[in-house]
Amino acid sequence: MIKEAENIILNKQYYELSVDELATVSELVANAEEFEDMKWFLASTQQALVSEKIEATPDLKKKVMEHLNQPKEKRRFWLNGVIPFLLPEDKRFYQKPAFQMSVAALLIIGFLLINNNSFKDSTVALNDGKMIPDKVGGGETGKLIVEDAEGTVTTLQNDTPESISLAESMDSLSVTRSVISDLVESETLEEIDEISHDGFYSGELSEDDLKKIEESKNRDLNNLNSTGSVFGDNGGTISGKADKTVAPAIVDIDDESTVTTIKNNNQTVVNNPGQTVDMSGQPKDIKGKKKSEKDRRLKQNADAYSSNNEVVDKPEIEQNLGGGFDNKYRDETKVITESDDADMSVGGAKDKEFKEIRPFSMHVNETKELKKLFTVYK
Amino acid sequence: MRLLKTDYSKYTDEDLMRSYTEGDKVAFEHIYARYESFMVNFFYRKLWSDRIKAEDFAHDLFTKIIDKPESFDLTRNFKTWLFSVANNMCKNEYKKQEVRKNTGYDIPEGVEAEDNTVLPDKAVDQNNFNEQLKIELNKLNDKHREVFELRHFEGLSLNEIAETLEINAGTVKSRLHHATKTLAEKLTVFRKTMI
Repeated sequence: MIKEAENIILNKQYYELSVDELATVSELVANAEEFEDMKWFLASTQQALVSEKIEATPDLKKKVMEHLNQPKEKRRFWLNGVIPFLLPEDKRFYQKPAFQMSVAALLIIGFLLINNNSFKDSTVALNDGKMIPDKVGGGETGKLIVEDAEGTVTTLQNDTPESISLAESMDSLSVTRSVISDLVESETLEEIDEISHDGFYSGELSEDDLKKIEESKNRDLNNLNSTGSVFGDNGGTISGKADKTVAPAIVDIDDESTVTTIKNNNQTVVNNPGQTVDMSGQPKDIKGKKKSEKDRRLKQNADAYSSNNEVVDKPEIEQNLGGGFDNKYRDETKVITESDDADMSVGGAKDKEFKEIRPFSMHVNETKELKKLFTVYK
Repeated sequence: MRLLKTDYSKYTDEDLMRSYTEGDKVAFEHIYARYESFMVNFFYRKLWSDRIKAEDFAHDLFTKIIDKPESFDLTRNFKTWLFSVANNMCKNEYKKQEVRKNTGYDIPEGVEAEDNTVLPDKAVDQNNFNEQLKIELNKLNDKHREVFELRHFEGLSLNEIAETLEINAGTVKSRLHHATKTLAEKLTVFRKTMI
Protein backbone atom coordinates (compact mmCIF):
# COMPACT_ATOMS: atom_id res chain seq x y z
CA MET A 1 0.00 0.00 0.00
CA ILE A 2 1.19 3.45 -0.83
CA LYS A 3 0.04 4.74 2.49
CA GLU A 4 2.22 2.23 4.20
CA ALA A 5 5.08 3.01 1.86
CA GLU A 6 4.83 6.72 2.70
CA ASN A 7 4.78 5.95 6.37
CA ILE A 8 7.76 3.69 6.01
CA ILE A 9 9.69 6.26 4.03
CA LEU A 10 8.89 8.99 6.52
CA ASN A 11 9.64 6.99 9.66
CA LYS A 12 12.52 4.75 8.72
CA GLN A 13 15.91 4.93 7.10
CA TYR A 14 16.70 2.99 3.99
CA TYR A 15 19.14 0.66 5.72
CA GLU A 16 16.54 -0.13 8.39
CA LEU A 17 14.07 -1.58 5.90
CA SER A 18 13.22 -5.24 6.06
CA VAL A 19 12.68 -7.31 2.96
CA ASP A 20 8.92 -6.81 3.07
CA GLU A 21 9.25 -3.09 3.66
CA LEU A 22 11.74 -2.83 0.87
CA ALA A 23 9.32 -4.60 -1.44
CA THR A 24 6.61 -2.21 -0.35
CA VAL A 25 8.59 0.98 -1.00
CA SER A 26 9.99 -0.34 -4.24
CA GLU A 27 6.92 0.98 -6.03
CA LEU A 28 8.04 4.53 -5.25
CA VAL A 29 11.77 4.35 -4.94
CA ALA A 30 14.40 2.14 -6.57
CA ASN A 31 17.49 2.87 -4.49
CA ALA A 32 18.72 4.65 -1.41
CA GLU A 33 19.15 7.99 -3.14
CA GLU A 34 15.60 8.05 -4.41
CA PHE A 35 14.49 6.93 -0.98
CA GLU A 36 16.11 9.97 0.57
CA ASP A 37 14.69 12.32 -2.05
CA MET A 38 11.24 10.93 -1.54
CA LYS A 39 11.60 11.20 2.21
CA TRP A 40 12.57 14.82 1.92
CA PHE A 41 9.73 15.56 -0.50
CA LEU A 42 7.09 14.02 1.71
CA ALA A 43 8.37 15.80 4.77
CA SER A 44 8.48 19.13 2.94
CA THR A 45 4.97 18.60 1.65
CA GLN A 46 3.72 17.96 5.17
CA GLN A 47 5.34 21.15 6.35
CA ALA A 48 3.94 23.09 3.44
CA LEU A 49 0.44 21.87 4.20
CA VAL A 50 0.73 22.88 7.81
CA SER A 51 1.89 26.33 6.87
CA GLU A 52 -0.79 26.67 4.23
CA LYS A 53 -3.70 25.84 6.48
CA ILE A 54 -6.10 28.60 7.35
CA GLU A 55 -8.48 28.97 10.23
CA ALA A 56 -12.11 29.65 9.71
CA THR A 57 -13.37 32.98 11.00
CA PRO A 58 -15.75 32.97 13.97
CA ASP A 59 -18.24 34.69 11.75
CA LEU A 60 -18.66 31.53 9.72
CA LYS A 61 -19.58 29.49 12.75
CA LYS A 62 -21.94 32.21 13.92
CA LYS A 63 -23.78 32.21 10.60
CA VAL A 64 -24.06 28.47 10.49
CA MET A 65 -25.33 28.26 14.02
CA GLU A 66 -27.85 31.00 13.38
CA HIS A 67 -29.10 29.04 10.44
CA LEU A 68 -29.23 25.93 12.56
CA ASN A 69 -31.30 27.59 15.25
CA GLN A 70 -33.73 29.26 12.85
CA PRO A 71 -37.21 27.82 12.50
CA LYS A 72 -37.57 25.79 9.36
CA GLU A 73 -40.04 28.27 7.88
CA LYS A 74 -37.44 31.02 7.90
CA ARG A 75 -34.68 28.96 6.39
CA ARG A 76 -34.48 30.32 2.88
CA PHE A 77 -31.20 29.24 1.59
CA TRP A 78 -32.28 28.85 -2.00
CA LEU A 79 -32.30 32.43 -3.13
CA ASN A 80 -32.90 31.33 -6.68
CA GLY A 81 -36.24 29.74 -5.80
CA VAL A 82 -39.43 30.66 -7.63
CA ILE A 83 -41.13 32.57 -4.85
CA PRO A 84 -38.06 34.57 -3.81
CA PHE A 85 -37.60 35.45 -7.46
CA LEU A 86 -41.18 36.49 -8.07
CA LEU A 87 -41.71 38.25 -4.76
CA PRO A 88 -38.41 39.61 -3.50
CA GLU A 89 -38.74 41.21 -0.12
CA ASP A 90 -36.37 44.10 -0.68
CA LYS A 91 -38.26 45.68 -3.60
CA ARG A 92 -41.34 47.77 -3.98
CA PHE A 93 -44.49 46.19 -5.27
CA TYR A 94 -44.16 47.60 -8.78
CA GLN A 95 -40.60 46.33 -8.97
CA LYS A 96 -41.58 42.77 -8.15
CA PRO A 97 -41.50 40.45 -11.16
CA ALA A 98 -44.81 38.86 -10.19
CA PHE A 99 -46.57 42.22 -10.42
CA GLN A 100 -44.83 43.14 -13.67
CA MET A 101 -45.65 39.83 -15.32
CA SER A 102 -49.29 39.97 -14.28
CA VAL A 103 -49.64 43.49 -15.71
CA ALA A 104 -48.04 42.36 -18.95
CA ALA A 105 -50.38 39.38 -19.15
CA LEU A 106 -53.41 41.60 -18.59
CA LEU A 107 -52.28 43.96 -21.33
CA ILE A 108 -51.80 41.13 -23.80
CA ILE A 109 -55.15 39.54 -23.00
CA GLY A 110 -56.92 42.89 -23.24
CA PHE A 111 -55.30 43.61 -26.57
CA LEU A 112 -56.38 40.25 -27.93
CA LEU A 113 -59.94 40.71 -26.70
CA ILE A 114 -60.20 44.11 -28.32
CA ASN A 115 -58.75 42.85 -31.57
CA ASN A 116 -61.12 39.90 -31.68
CA ASN A 117 -64.08 42.29 -32.02
CA SER A 118 -62.80 43.50 -35.36
CA PHE A 119 -63.41 40.08 -36.84
CA LYS A 120 -67.12 40.41 -36.22
CA ASP A 121 -67.42 43.35 -38.58
CA SER A 122 -70.56 42.85 -40.61
CA THR A 123 -69.04 44.58 -43.60
CA VAL A 124 -66.55 41.81 -44.04
CA ALA A 125 -67.70 39.43 -46.74
CA LEU A 126 -68.29 35.85 -45.79
CA ASN A 127 -67.30 33.29 -48.35
CA ASP A 128 -69.95 30.65 -47.88
CA GLY A 129 -69.60 29.10 -51.32
CA LYS A 130 -72.93 30.46 -52.58
CA MET A 131 -71.65 33.47 -54.46
CA ILE A 132 -72.99 33.56 -57.99
CA PRO A 133 -71.33 35.89 -60.46
CA ASP A 134 -73.52 38.27 -62.40
CA LYS A 135 -71.36 38.06 -65.45
CA VAL A 136 -69.29 35.17 -66.50
CA GLY A 137 -66.38 36.20 -68.63
CA GLY A 138 -68.33 39.02 -70.24
CA GLY A 139 -70.38 36.52 -72.19
CA GLU A 140 -74.04 35.78 -72.31
CA THR A 141 -75.14 32.86 -70.27
CA GLY A 142 -78.80 33.58 -70.30
CA LYS A 143 -81.21 34.06 -67.54
CA LEU A 144 -81.29 31.67 -64.69
CA ILE A 145 -84.40 31.48 -62.64
CA VAL A 146 -84.45 29.30 -59.62
CA GLU A 147 -87.82 28.98 -58.05
CA ASP A 148 -88.69 26.86 -55.10
CA ALA A 149 -92.04 25.58 -53.92
CA GLU A 150 -92.72 28.55 -51.73
CA GLY A 151 -92.49 30.96 -54.61
CA THR A 152 -89.09 32.31 -53.84
CA VAL A 153 -87.45 33.19 -57.11
CA THR A 154 -83.77 33.68 -57.65
CA THR A 155 -82.82 35.21 -60.94
CA LEU A 156 -79.36 34.90 -62.37
CA GLN A 157 -78.94 36.72 -65.64
CA ASN A 158 -76.32 38.21 -67.89
CA ASP A 159 -77.77 40.87 -70.07
CA THR A 160 -75.03 41.11 -72.64
CA PRO A 161 -75.77 38.76 -75.52
CA GLU A 162 -72.14 38.04 -76.22
CA SER A 163 -70.56 34.72 -76.94
CA ILE A 164 -68.99 32.75 -74.16
CA SER A 165 -66.62 29.93 -74.19
CA LEU A 166 -67.50 26.38 -73.47
CA ALA A 167 -65.58 26.38 -70.21
CA GLU A 168 -67.44 29.46 -69.00
CA SER A 169 -70.73 27.90 -69.87
CA MET A 170 -69.80 24.81 -67.95
CA ASP A 171 -68.77 26.89 -64.97
CA SER A 172 -72.12 28.56 -65.03
CA LEU A 173 -73.82 25.22 -65.10
CA SER A 174 -71.78 23.98 -62.18
CA VAL A 175 -72.77 27.05 -60.17
CA THR A 176 -76.38 26.42 -61.06
CA ARG A 177 -76.07 22.86 -59.99
CA SER A 178 -74.71 23.84 -56.62
CA VAL A 179 -77.59 26.24 -56.06
CA ILE A 180 -80.09 23.58 -57.01
CA SER A 181 -78.38 21.12 -54.76
CA ASP A 182 -78.63 23.49 -51.82
CA LEU A 183 -82.28 24.19 -52.46
CA VAL A 184 -83.20 20.54 -52.78
CA GLU A 185 -81.28 19.74 -49.69
CA SER A 186 -82.99 22.39 -47.61
CA GLU A 187 -86.49 21.63 -48.81
CA THR A 188 -86.40 17.87 -48.74
CA LEU A 189 -84.31 17.25 -45.72
CA GLU A 190 -86.95 15.16 -44.03
CA GLU A 191 -87.49 12.95 -47.01
CA ILE A 192 -83.81 12.42 -47.47
CA ASP A 193 -83.77 10.80 -44.09
CA GLU A 194 -85.57 7.88 -45.66
CA ILE A 195 -82.56 7.29 -47.81
CA SER A 196 -80.03 5.14 -46.13
CA HIS A 197 -76.39 6.08 -45.86
CA ASP A 198 -75.44 3.91 -48.77
CA GLY A 199 -77.45 6.14 -51.07
CA PHE A 200 -80.41 3.84 -51.66
CA TYR A 201 -84.00 4.64 -50.87
CA SER A 202 -85.12 2.36 -48.11
CA GLY A 203 -88.88 3.09 -48.22
CA GLU A 204 -91.48 1.14 -50.09
CA LEU A 205 -92.84 2.31 -53.44
CA SER A 206 -96.52 2.17 -54.18
CA GLU A 207 -97.95 0.64 -57.30
CA ASP A 208 -98.65 4.06 -58.73
CA ASP A 209 -95.05 4.98 -58.25
CA LEU A 210 -93.82 1.85 -59.97
CA LYS A 211 -96.13 2.47 -62.87
CA LYS A 212 -94.97 6.04 -63.21
CA ILE A 213 -91.37 4.96 -63.10
CA GLU A 214 -92.05 2.52 -65.90
CA GLU A 215 -93.75 5.25 -67.94
CA SER A 216 -90.88 7.56 -67.34
CA LYS A 217 -88.37 5.01 -68.49
CA ASN A 218 -90.33 4.31 -71.64
CA ARG A 219 -90.57 7.98 -72.32
CA ASP A 220 -86.88 8.42 -71.82
CA LEU A 221 -86.16 5.64 -74.23
CA ASN A 222 -88.30 7.34 -76.81
CA ASN A 223 -86.49 10.59 -76.37
CA LEU A 224 -83.04 9.16 -76.55
CA ASN A 225 -82.65 10.13 -80.17
CA SER A 226 -81.60 13.60 -79.07
CA THR A 227 -80.44 13.32 -75.54
CA GLY A 228 -80.09 10.46 -73.17
CA SER A 229 -80.06 9.52 -69.58
CA VAL A 230 -76.77 9.78 -67.94
CA PHE A 231 -77.17 8.35 -64.53
CA GLY A 232 -79.28 5.46 -65.55
CA ASP A 233 -77.97 3.07 -62.97
CA ASN A 234 -78.35 5.50 -60.16
CA GLY A 235 -81.88 6.28 -61.18
CA GLY A 236 -81.48 9.92 -62.06
CA THR A 237 -82.83 10.55 -65.56
CA ILE A 238 -82.39 13.63 -67.67
CA SER A 239 -84.64 13.57 -70.62
CA GLY A 240 -85.06 15.83 -73.59
CA LYS A 241 -87.23 16.23 -76.56
CA ALA A 242 -85.80 15.05 -79.84
CA ASP A 243 -86.30 18.06 -82.00
CA LYS A 244 -86.34 20.84 -79.46
CA THR A 245 -82.92 20.81 -77.99
CA VAL A 246 -81.64 24.34 -77.91
CA ALA A 247 -80.68 26.21 -74.86
CA PRO A 248 -78.04 25.43 -72.36
CA ALA A 249 -78.56 25.30 -68.65
CA ILE A 250 -82.26 24.65 -68.79
CA VAL A 251 -83.09 22.46 -65.93
CA ASP A 252 -86.51 21.80 -64.55
CA ILE A 253 -86.69 19.84 -61.41
CA ASP A 254 -90.20 18.83 -60.56
CA ASP A 255 -90.67 17.91 -57.01
CA GLU A 256 -93.51 17.77 -54.66
CA SER A 257 -92.01 20.53 -52.63
CA THR A 258 -89.48 22.07 -54.94
CA VAL A 259 -89.81 23.44 -58.42
CA THR A 260 -86.66 24.78 -60.03
CA THR A 261 -86.73 26.19 -63.49
CA ILE A 262 -83.74 27.50 -65.35
CA LYS A 263 -84.80 29.72 -68.20
CA ASN A 264 -83.30 30.99 -71.37
CA ASN A 265 -82.67 34.61 -71.96
CA ASN A 266 -86.27 35.52 -72.19
CA GLN A 267 -87.75 32.12 -72.40
CA THR A 268 -88.15 29.10 -70.30
CA VAL A 269 -87.84 25.89 -72.23
CA VAL A 270 -89.46 22.88 -70.76
CA ASN A 271 -89.45 19.42 -72.18
CA ASN A 272 -92.38 17.13 -71.85
CA PRO A 273 -94.47 19.41 -69.73
CA GLY A 274 -97.17 17.68 -67.92
CA GLN A 275 -95.35 14.42 -67.75
CA THR A 276 -93.95 15.00 -64.34
CA VAL A 277 -93.79 11.88 -62.31
CA ASP A 278 -94.34 12.23 -58.63
CA MET A 279 -92.20 9.71 -56.83
CA SER A 280 -93.10 10.71 -53.34
CA GLY A 281 -96.13 8.51 -53.20
CA GLN A 282 -98.39 11.43 -52.25
CA PRO A 283 -101.53 12.26 -54.25
CA LYS A 284 -100.99 14.95 -56.82
CA ASP A 285 -103.96 16.98 -55.78
CA ILE A 286 -102.08 17.96 -52.67
CA LYS A 287 -99.91 20.19 -54.75
CA GLY A 288 -102.79 22.61 -55.14
CA LYS A 289 -102.33 25.96 -56.67
CA LYS A 290 -98.57 25.76 -56.88
CA LYS A 291 -98.71 22.84 -59.26
CA SER A 292 -101.29 24.31 -61.51
CA GLU A 293 -99.47 27.61 -61.57
CA LYS A 294 -96.28 25.86 -62.49
CA ASP A 295 -97.91 23.88 -65.25
CA ARG A 296 -99.46 26.98 -66.68
CA ARG A 297 -96.16 28.79 -66.67
CA LEU A 298 -94.33 25.89 -68.21
CA LYS A 299 -96.88 25.58 -70.94
CA GLN A 300 -96.59 29.25 -71.83
CA ASN A 301 -92.87 28.97 -72.01
CA ALA A 302 -93.03 25.89 -74.17
CA ASP A 303 -95.35 27.63 -76.60
CA ALA A 304 -93.16 30.64 -76.78
CA TYR A 305 -90.16 28.51 -77.30
CA SER A 306 -91.67 26.40 -80.05
CA SER A 307 -92.83 29.48 -81.91
CA ASN A 308 -89.44 31.16 -81.87
CA ASN A 309 -86.94 28.39 -82.16
CA GLU A 310 -85.93 26.10 -84.85
CA VAL A 311 -83.70 23.33 -83.83
CA VAL A 312 -81.54 20.91 -85.62
CA ASP A 313 -79.73 18.67 -83.29
CA LYS A 314 -77.50 15.71 -83.46
CA PRO A 315 -79.40 12.67 -82.36
CA GLU A 316 -78.46 10.43 -79.59
CA ILE A 317 -76.06 12.48 -77.67
CA GLU A 318 -75.70 11.59 -74.14
CA GLN A 319 -75.28 14.46 -71.81
CA ASN A 320 -73.43 14.54 -68.65
CA LEU A 321 -75.39 16.19 -65.92
CA GLY A 322 -72.29 17.40 -64.17
CA GLY A 323 -70.57 18.93 -67.14
CA GLY A 324 -73.66 19.97 -69.07
CA PHE A 325 -72.44 18.22 -72.22
CA ASP A 326 -69.54 16.19 -73.28
CA ASN A 327 -66.66 17.73 -75.14
CA LYS A 328 -66.32 14.82 -77.48
CA TYR A 329 -69.57 15.72 -79.16
CA ARG A 330 -68.76 19.37 -79.48
CA ASP A 331 -67.21 19.18 -82.92
CA GLU A 332 -69.71 16.70 -84.20
CA THR A 333 -72.70 18.85 -83.46
CA LYS A 334 -74.60 20.17 -86.40
CA VAL A 335 -75.45 23.75 -86.93
CA ILE A 336 -78.20 24.96 -84.74
CA THR A 337 -80.29 27.86 -85.89
CA GLU A 338 -82.49 29.78 -83.62
CA SER A 339 -83.80 33.23 -82.96
CA ASP A 340 -81.82 36.06 -81.45
CA ASP A 341 -83.65 35.79 -78.21
CA ALA A 342 -83.00 32.17 -77.94
CA ASP A 343 -79.41 32.46 -78.91
CA MET A 344 -77.43 32.47 -75.72
CA SER A 345 -74.30 30.63 -76.58
CA VAL A 346 -71.47 30.66 -79.02
CA GLY A 347 -71.61 33.29 -81.72
CA GLY A 348 -74.03 35.69 -80.16
CA ALA A 349 -76.82 37.37 -82.10
CA LYS A 350 -74.88 37.78 -85.29
CA ASP A 351 -73.59 34.31 -85.48
CA LYS A 352 -76.48 32.05 -86.13
CA GLU A 353 -74.32 29.07 -86.51
CA PHE A 354 -72.34 27.53 -83.75
CA LYS A 355 -70.65 24.26 -83.32
CA GLU A 356 -71.29 23.58 -79.75
CA ILE A 357 -73.95 21.44 -78.38
CA ARG A 358 -75.76 23.17 -75.65
CA PRO A 359 -77.52 21.42 -72.88
CA PHE A 360 -80.99 20.39 -73.58
CA SER A 361 -83.66 21.39 -71.16
CA MET A 362 -83.51 18.71 -68.58
CA HIS A 363 -86.62 17.47 -67.03
CA VAL A 364 -86.05 15.35 -64.04
CA ASN A 365 -89.22 13.66 -63.05
CA GLU A 366 -88.21 11.03 -60.62
CA THR A 367 -87.90 12.85 -57.40
CA LYS A 368 -86.72 9.99 -55.27
CA GLU A 369 -84.03 9.08 -57.66
CA LEU A 370 -82.97 12.67 -57.83
CA LYS A 371 -82.67 12.68 -54.10
CA LYS A 372 -80.51 9.62 -54.29
CA LEU A 373 -78.45 11.32 -56.89
CA PHE A 374 -77.87 14.36 -54.72
CA THR A 375 -77.19 12.26 -51.72
CA VAL A 376 -74.58 10.27 -53.54
CA TYR A 377 -73.19 13.44 -55.01
CA LYS A 378 -72.83 15.15 -51.64
CA MET B 1 -34.76 15.44 32.23
CA ARG B 2 -31.37 14.19 31.44
CA LEU B 3 -29.25 13.22 34.36
CA LEU B 4 -26.12 12.51 32.37
CA LYS B 5 -24.72 14.68 29.63
CA THR B 6 -24.28 12.85 26.36
CA ASP B 7 -20.70 12.36 25.39
CA TYR B 8 -20.77 13.20 21.71
CA SER B 9 -17.05 12.85 21.33
CA LYS B 10 -17.49 9.10 21.36
CA TYR B 11 -20.06 9.25 18.63
CA THR B 12 -19.07 8.44 15.11
CA ASP B 13 -19.92 10.84 12.37
CA GLU B 14 -22.74 8.63 11.24
CA ASP B 15 -24.18 8.46 14.75
CA LEU B 16 -24.09 12.22 15.02
CA MET B 17 -25.89 12.58 11.72
CA ARG B 18 -28.50 10.08 12.83
CA SER B 19 -29.01 12.07 16.01
CA TYR B 20 -29.31 15.31 14.11
CA THR B 21 -31.80 13.77 11.71
CA GLU B 22 -33.89 12.91 14.75
CA GLY B 23 -33.76 16.55 15.85
CA ASP B 24 -30.67 16.78 18.01
CA LYS B 25 -29.06 20.09 17.09
CA VAL B 26 -26.14 19.56 19.44
CA ALA B 27 -25.10 16.57 17.39
CA PHE B 28 -24.79 18.83 14.38
CA GLU B 29 -22.67 21.27 16.34
CA HIS B 30 -20.25 18.46 16.96
CA ILE B 31 -20.20 17.53 13.31
CA TYR B 32 -19.51 21.13 12.45
CA ALA B 33 -16.66 21.31 14.94
CA ARG B 34 -15.07 18.22 13.45
CA TYR B 35 -15.18 19.31 9.84
CA GLU B 36 -15.18 23.08 9.82
CA SER B 37 -11.44 23.41 9.36
CA PHE B 38 -11.28 20.54 6.93
CA MET B 39 -13.90 22.03 4.69
CA VAL B 40 -12.66 25.59 4.77
CA ASN B 41 -9.15 24.47 3.85
CA PHE B 42 -10.46 22.13 1.23
CA PHE B 43 -12.36 24.93 -0.46
CA TYR B 44 -9.47 27.28 0.08
CA ARG B 45 -7.13 25.04 -1.87
CA LYS B 46 -9.61 24.10 -4.48
CA LEU B 47 -10.93 27.59 -5.11
CA TRP B 48 -7.81 29.49 -5.98
CA SER B 49 -6.81 30.26 -2.37
CA ASP B 50 -9.72 32.65 -2.02
CA ARG B 51 -10.50 32.79 1.68
CA ILE B 52 -13.85 34.55 1.38
CA LYS B 53 -15.03 32.18 -1.28
CA ALA B 54 -13.84 29.24 0.78
CA GLU B 55 -15.86 30.37 3.79
CA ASP B 56 -18.90 31.03 1.65
CA PHE B 57 -18.75 27.58 0.22
CA ALA B 58 -18.21 26.03 3.63
CA HIS B 59 -21.25 27.95 4.87
CA ASP B 60 -23.33 26.73 1.96
CA LEU B 61 -22.22 23.17 2.53
CA PHE B 62 -23.18 23.14 6.20
CA THR B 63 -26.47 24.91 5.64
CA LYS B 64 -27.34 22.27 3.06
CA ILE B 65 -26.76 19.62 5.67
CA ILE B 66 -28.87 21.58 8.15
CA ASP B 67 -31.74 21.95 5.72
CA LYS B 68 -31.66 18.48 4.25
CA PRO B 69 -30.05 16.01 6.63
CA GLU B 70 -32.09 13.24 5.05
CA SER B 71 -30.01 13.60 1.88
CA PHE B 72 -27.25 11.72 3.69
CA ASP B 73 -27.47 7.97 3.38
CA LEU B 74 -26.80 6.63 6.87
CA THR B 75 -25.25 3.49 5.44
CA ARG B 76 -22.44 5.51 3.85
CA ASN B 77 -19.29 6.96 5.32
CA PHE B 78 -20.05 10.54 6.36
CA LYS B 79 -16.55 11.83 5.72
CA THR B 80 -16.40 10.61 2.16
CA TRP B 81 -19.97 11.77 1.52
CA LEU B 82 -19.09 15.23 2.81
CA PHE B 83 -15.99 15.46 0.65
CA SER B 84 -17.84 14.25 -2.40
CA VAL B 85 -20.50 16.93 -1.91
CA ALA B 86 -17.79 19.55 -1.46
CA ASN B 87 -15.94 18.28 -4.51
CA ASN B 88 -19.09 18.55 -6.61
CA MET B 89 -19.62 22.10 -5.42
CA CYS B 90 -16.13 22.94 -6.58
CA LYS B 91 -16.78 21.38 -9.97
CA ASN B 92 -19.91 23.46 -10.36
CA GLU B 93 -17.92 26.54 -9.52
CA TYR B 94 -15.35 25.64 -12.13
CA LYS B 95 -18.09 25.42 -14.73
CA LYS B 96 -19.46 28.81 -13.72
CA GLN B 97 -16.05 30.36 -13.92
CA GLU B 98 -15.52 28.79 -17.31
CA VAL B 99 -18.70 30.42 -18.58
CA ARG B 100 -17.76 33.79 -17.12
CA LYS B 101 -14.32 33.55 -18.63
CA ASN B 102 -15.88 33.51 -22.07
CA THR B 103 -17.98 36.62 -21.60
CA GLY B 104 -15.39 38.94 -23.14
CA TYR B 105 -14.25 40.73 -20.00
CA ASP B 106 -11.10 38.72 -19.74
CA ILE B 107 -7.65 39.82 -20.46
CA PRO B 108 -7.01 39.77 -24.20
CA GLU B 109 -5.49 36.64 -25.60
CA GLY B 110 -1.72 36.62 -25.51
CA VAL B 111 -1.50 38.89 -22.50
CA GLU B 112 -0.70 37.16 -19.23
CA ALA B 113 -2.16 38.56 -16.04
CA GLU B 114 0.75 37.43 -14.00
CA ASP B 115 4.31 36.71 -14.82
CA ASN B 116 4.81 33.08 -13.90
CA THR B 117 8.46 33.12 -14.71
CA VAL B 118 10.43 31.90 -11.68
CA LEU B 119 13.68 33.67 -11.25
CA PRO B 120 16.74 31.48 -10.49
CA ASP B 121 17.30 32.90 -7.05
CA LYS B 122 13.66 32.36 -6.15
CA ALA B 123 13.62 28.90 -7.61
CA VAL B 124 16.13 27.73 -5.07
CA ASP B 125 14.62 29.60 -2.19
CA GLN B 126 13.25 27.34 0.48
CA ASN B 127 10.47 29.76 1.20
CA ASN B 128 9.20 29.32 -2.25
CA PHE B 129 8.86 25.58 -1.98
CA ASN B 130 5.19 25.85 -1.22
CA GLU B 131 4.64 28.15 -4.15
CA GLN B 132 6.55 25.84 -6.43
CA LEU B 133 4.57 22.92 -5.12
CA LYS B 134 1.36 24.68 -6.11
CA ILE B 135 2.75 25.47 -9.52
CA GLU B 136 3.75 21.91 -10.14
CA LEU B 137 0.48 20.67 -8.79
CA ASN B 138 -1.38 22.85 -11.26
CA LYS B 139 0.69 21.41 -14.04
CA LEU B 140 -0.53 17.95 -13.15
CA ASN B 141 -3.53 16.36 -14.68
CA ASP B 142 -6.75 17.08 -12.77
CA LYS B 143 -7.26 13.43 -11.92
CA HIS B 144 -3.76 13.09 -10.47
CA ARG B 145 -3.90 16.38 -8.68
CA GLU B 146 -7.15 15.76 -6.86
CA VAL B 147 -5.97 12.34 -5.71
CA PHE B 148 -2.73 13.82 -4.42
CA GLU B 149 -4.55 16.65 -2.63
CA LEU B 150 -7.06 14.34 -1.01
CA ARG B 151 -4.28 12.03 0.13
CA HIS B 152 -1.76 14.56 1.41
CA PHE B 153 -3.84 17.63 2.20
CA GLU B 154 -7.03 16.07 3.53
CA GLY B 155 -5.43 12.93 4.91
CA LEU B 156 -7.91 10.51 3.34
CA SER B 157 -6.99 6.88 2.96
CA LEU B 158 -6.97 5.21 -0.43
CA ASN B 159 -10.35 3.65 0.12
CA GLU B 160 -11.81 6.93 1.27
CA ILE B 161 -10.44 8.66 -1.78
CA ALA B 162 -11.90 5.93 -3.96
CA GLU B 163 -15.30 6.33 -2.30
CA THR B 164 -15.20 10.09 -2.51
CA LEU B 165 -14.30 10.17 -6.18
CA GLU B 166 -16.36 7.05 -6.91
CA ILE B 167 -13.49 5.31 -8.63
CA ASN B 168 -11.59 2.08 -8.10
CA ALA B 169 -9.02 1.90 -5.25
CA GLY B 170 -6.44 0.53 -7.68
CA THR B 171 -6.94 3.54 -9.90
CA VAL B 172 -6.42 5.80 -6.92
CA LYS B 173 -3.21 4.01 -6.09
CA SER B 174 -1.74 4.31 -9.56
CA ARG B 175 -2.71 7.97 -9.85
CA LEU B 176 -1.24 8.78 -6.48
CA HIS B 177 1.93 6.91 -7.34
CA HIS B 178 2.31 8.85 -10.56
CA ALA B 179 1.64 12.22 -8.95
CA THR B 180 4.01 11.63 -6.07
CA LYS B 181 6.88 10.55 -8.24
CA THR B 182 6.38 13.40 -10.69
CA LEU B 183 6.31 16.04 -8.00
CA ALA B 184 9.23 14.53 -6.13
CA GLU B 185 11.39 14.55 -9.23
CA LYS B 186 10.59 18.19 -10.00
CA LEU B 187 10.98 19.48 -6.47
CA THR B 188 14.11 17.60 -5.50
CA VAL B 189 16.16 20.58 -6.59
CA PHE B 190 15.06 22.40 -3.45
CA ARG B 191 16.52 19.73 -1.23
CA LYS B 192 20.14 20.52 -2.14
CA THR B 193 19.71 24.23 -1.51
CA MET B 194 17.92 23.69 1.75
CA ILE B 195 20.56 21.45 3.18
